[in-house]
Amino acid sequence: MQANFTEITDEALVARVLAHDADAFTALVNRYQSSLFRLARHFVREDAVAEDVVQDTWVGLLRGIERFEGRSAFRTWLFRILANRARTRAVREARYVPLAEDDGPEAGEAFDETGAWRTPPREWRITPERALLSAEVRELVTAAIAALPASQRAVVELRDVQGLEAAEVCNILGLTETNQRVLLHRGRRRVRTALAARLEL
Amino acid sequence: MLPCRDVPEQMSDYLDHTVGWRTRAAIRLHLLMCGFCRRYARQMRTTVMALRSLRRRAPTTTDDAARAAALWAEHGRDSPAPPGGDGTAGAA
Repeated sequence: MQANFTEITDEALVARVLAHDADAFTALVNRYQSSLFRLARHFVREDAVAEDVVQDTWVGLLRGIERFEGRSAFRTWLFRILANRARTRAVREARYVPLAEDDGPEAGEAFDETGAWRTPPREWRITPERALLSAEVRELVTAAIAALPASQRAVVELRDVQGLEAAEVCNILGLTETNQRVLLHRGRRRVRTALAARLEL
Repeated sequence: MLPCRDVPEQMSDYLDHTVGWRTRAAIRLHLLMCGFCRRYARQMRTTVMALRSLRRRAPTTTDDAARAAALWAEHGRDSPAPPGGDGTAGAA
């Protein structure tokens, strides 16, 4: 029966959960468990604490699901429950990873006094089309995300990997529009640099 | 003309269409004339697409199923009272 759920929208699953469909709830857990865990880890350092936060989030979802009004995407609503719980928990444990934390712009690409490339980007040994199918590139990108500063990682994860809109991400993480753009920009730039280090000819 | 230094600085916003039209025009013009920056732009586009390609759904794990079952048992909506149903579906 699980397979049938993969094509169903989140909102339709919520409607079925409201109608006491346990399988629909399982489908939501399956769909979001790993995203929630990754997001939780942006707020708390320990896996075990992140697991707890995710568990709390699901309990919160089940208890409060009638209050979901469909004004925002279900995903945004769920991620906000998680972000709120994670912040509370992290503050209590004094292990809050503040999202404002950032390490400034990347040293990265070098330019001369006129603003021209000092070390121009070299061609990659893989075409864009091949890159997207390549297991090696997937691994490189996954490792590059993991190595990002927490604030950049949260934004890159939500915007690019999860595909959320900028406004949703600001809402979930409590960032200004400008902050969000800068963090995304820096994060992507670092991921490109990490790919370049391994893919340049 | 826009210096190359500014191209990586704006590229993320450029790809997301969140730069103003003036900056957008300046970048386009620069890209027409600068092979290095075109290459950079192509690589950044590939990077973003590679990030998006990680979105693929994770396969169902038995862990998730067990977790869901446990949560449902404790906090789930287990009183079956479908709206208007009252177990008399099909009557009348």
